[in-house]
Amino acid sequence: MNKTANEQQLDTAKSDFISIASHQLRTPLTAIKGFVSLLLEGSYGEVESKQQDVLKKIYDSNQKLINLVDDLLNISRMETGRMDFAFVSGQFEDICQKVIGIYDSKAREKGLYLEYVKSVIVLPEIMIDGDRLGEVISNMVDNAIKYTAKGGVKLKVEEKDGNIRVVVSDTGMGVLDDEMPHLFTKFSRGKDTKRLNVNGIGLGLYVGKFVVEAHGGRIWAESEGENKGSRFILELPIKTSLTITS
Amino acid sequence: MQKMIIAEDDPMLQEVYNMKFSNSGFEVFMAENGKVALEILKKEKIDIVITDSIMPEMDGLELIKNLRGGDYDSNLRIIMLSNLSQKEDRDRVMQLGANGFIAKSDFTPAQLIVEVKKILNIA
Repeated sequence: MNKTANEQQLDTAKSDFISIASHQLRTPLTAIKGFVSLLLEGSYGEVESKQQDVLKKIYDSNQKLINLVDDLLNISRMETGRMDFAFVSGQFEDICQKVIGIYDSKAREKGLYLEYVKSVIVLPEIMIDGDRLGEVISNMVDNAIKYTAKGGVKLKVEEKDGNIRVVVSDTGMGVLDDEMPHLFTKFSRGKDTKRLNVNGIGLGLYVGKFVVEAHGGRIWAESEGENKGSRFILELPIKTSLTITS
Repeated sequence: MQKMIIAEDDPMLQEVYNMKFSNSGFEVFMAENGKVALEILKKEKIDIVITDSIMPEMDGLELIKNLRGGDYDSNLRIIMLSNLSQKEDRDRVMQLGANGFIAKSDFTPAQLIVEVKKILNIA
């Protein structure tokens, strides 16, 4: 889609605004994080366990806000072509192991299984921005846990037709046909908010698509329909200009 | 005891950092901007400067430029503690001669101490 000069100017102004607002938001959020941490550490005296629980909730909510601000900043960078990547030789298995480590307890708390299926062959290292791809895969697993009430989530890494493929499948509520086209667009959470009664503002997959495409890969979703689970698939070509030649 | 200046304009963060670093064995001098930090340096023998990036009157980059401009002890260690966490911001700060760069909102005060000690090579 071609944009007129005016539209581009408006985009830049919008992104600059988000950028400045995000920096301003981060300062008080960092202060809240700091004070709550100090309270929890006992820097202001001993804290009862019930109060500790409340403080942890404040800490977690605040962290959500910090992450949200980060997402908004990322978007403003993406849209103005200012997102930078640090491509280094990396192994997908390492990233996935880390993600499993982070989400294992979250899945268990919800009574779900979280299964990791390793590749049967040793995958080659490719040039990736491990941090950013880790965020994308985390987001895929987080979504799967969020939208699944029974059963569980499977994270699988494999080599397929010259690609490294990461598949996150779940036994959750699935994706409706009319939701499918909007999954990877900005602020998309599906129209039926009653069906999708969850937190988040729908930026994760939008950012994820951008990051994956910056790696020369693609990301998409498949679902048999309502309550039939879904699969989110991320694919990166092994042989790209970014592949290490040995 | 290591003497440290923390240049930070937000009063809330000043309180957080002052408390944490003081409790962790540093002698802390607070400055609300780069100019104040330079004034403290005239009177005190300082080991470490931790500076925010965006501050009124004199920002963190300007402060580092001054500190590495030749008039100050080149052994003075400088860390930027900032919410500008893009790679280009980081690169610029390191090029100016800082010893480290820490993204503010990524760390709790306790993690921050660990990180600062790591950069300064003190256990």
